[in-house]
Amino acid sequence: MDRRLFLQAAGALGVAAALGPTRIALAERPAGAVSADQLPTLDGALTLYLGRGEGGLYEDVVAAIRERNPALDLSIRRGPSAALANTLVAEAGAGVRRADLFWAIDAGSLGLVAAGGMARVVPADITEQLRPEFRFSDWTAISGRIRTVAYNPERVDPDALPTDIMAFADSDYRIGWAPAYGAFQSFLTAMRLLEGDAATRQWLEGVEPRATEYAGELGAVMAVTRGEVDLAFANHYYTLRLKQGMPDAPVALHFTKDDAGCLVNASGVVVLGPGDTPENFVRYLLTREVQSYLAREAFELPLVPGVPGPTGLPPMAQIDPPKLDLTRLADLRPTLALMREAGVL
Amino acid sequence: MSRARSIIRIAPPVLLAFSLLGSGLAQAHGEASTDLDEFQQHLDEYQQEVNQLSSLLDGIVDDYAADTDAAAGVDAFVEEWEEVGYHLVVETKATPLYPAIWQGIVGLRDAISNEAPESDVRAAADDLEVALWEGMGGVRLAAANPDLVSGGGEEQAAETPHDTIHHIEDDLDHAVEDYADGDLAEAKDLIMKTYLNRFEGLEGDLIEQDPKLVVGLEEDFNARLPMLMDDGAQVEEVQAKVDAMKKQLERAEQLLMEKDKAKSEVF
Repeated sequence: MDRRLFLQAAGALGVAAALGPTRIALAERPAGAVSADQLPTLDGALTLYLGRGEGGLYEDVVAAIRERNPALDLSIRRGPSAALANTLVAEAGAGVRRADLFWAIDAGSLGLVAAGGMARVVPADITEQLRPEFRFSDWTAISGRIRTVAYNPERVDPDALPTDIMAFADSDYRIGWAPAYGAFQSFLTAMRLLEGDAATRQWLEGVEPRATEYAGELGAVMAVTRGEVDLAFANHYYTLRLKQGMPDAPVALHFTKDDAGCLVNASGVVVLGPGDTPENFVRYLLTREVQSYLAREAFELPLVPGVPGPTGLPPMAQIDPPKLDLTRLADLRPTLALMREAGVL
Repeated sequence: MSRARSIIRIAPPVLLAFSLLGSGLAQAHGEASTDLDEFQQHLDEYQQEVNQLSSLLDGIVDDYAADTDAAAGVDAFVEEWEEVGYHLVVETKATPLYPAIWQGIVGLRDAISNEAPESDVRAAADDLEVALWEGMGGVRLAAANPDLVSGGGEEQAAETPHDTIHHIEDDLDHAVEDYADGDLAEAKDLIMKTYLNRFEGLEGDLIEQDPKLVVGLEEDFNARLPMLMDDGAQVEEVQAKVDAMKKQLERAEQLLMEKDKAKSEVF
């Protein structure tokens, strides 16, 4: 199901506008993720709705948990996160619960389910394991991805790069972007929520004359390495993965401060079923081993303090993402309308 | 803006094509049924079940008009819907059409509990009936295109890169068939869906090994192939483009299998 159909369905169910879990204000727990060796063995029946993502790496994690817990009778339903969220909402509306857990790659899908009143409150010992800015009452963030400015250090002085994303609209840089990409539209939605519609439109109109459009964000980052553009707006992992394969590629990462330009979006889990097993499954996802694996193999940001991030990314403590209810990013309609008005879509 | 590359616009979904693209999901509770392995042979039974469910809907509307307990009729409908074999087959073989049936049930239940006018209750029942028949259409389409539907009577295994590439290639072939049949919108929709739902999941591992390959395919999916169709190219030209993409996808599969072997352990 594509994003628009998802939104149409969400609108039809009257829940899109109601998204938004409550942040929990808790003191930061001392660093140090739990090891899987400290967790109880999982057993009993468990049904997981699993959103596709990150090249099957979530599948690897689930398979490893299953192998480690032979008494766990795990059933999995797979599909695009938005489609599974719609199914969960529809099932709940009819008074049926078929899933115990929902692991999605985007917070918007989780918000849709949480707003449907199906989510169980996350136990405090789980939320306390996460960085304070990723503690929510009705879903558990698992790993993150950050918006970045990928620039060519042979052409751009990093000290001259703005730390305010809005300032790029007034710069002379040649910019690469991928407006049709979901990640870009989420970024722009964040800008709209943080800065307002008028400022976002002005930003689009300011950047557009110097922007080159690419089919995807990897294409935009590759264009940076070729010198086709000076910089590109893209999620962090494109640059990190590219550098992994081409260590000498002339591209580096720049981070803005406290704005949509350094938004951290998250994958996460909603607990739907009763009992210890669903919650303990979530505890496995926050272990040092799983968090490290996602950072190592998928270049995702671990959200449990004390777990090293992917190679090539500064520690989370040095990144200054904006405070934003991530589930609000699901509502793309006003963003798409704005992009069309500004002539970039 | 200098449009160095054109990009595809996200088109409205074409439900039946989507029903194939997104189907093959594992059933939620692993209720293995040998019938599902040969679901194509049970289409008449499923159709009878849809007829039976439709009759129940008529009864609910009649009860509502007669001011009797229509809400109890909805409960009975849900019970029946949970029991029939059609439920499992639409859930697993035409999955994207499955939520619409639940949504239809919610709509009918709401209309009744809100004491809506009889015409609204009738309309809600009609919507649900349409969703049931659309589901049946999706199941029939899946039966006629078994290559596009994986899984069956047991929980579907996670896809390997080989499986995913195979699905993408099938989708591209079907897109060419749609184009040849004059259905441009459906062809482009299928290309977009297979890119978003399948190829994007492979990109991460590929970037490390051959970023140029990824960018080339990204542009093929999002720009070159749909643009050829928009420009009214000959079917042979479109087929040649797809054949070239398949060669690149074979190279991608090779790289992904190698990467898969080199992955570290989780625990």
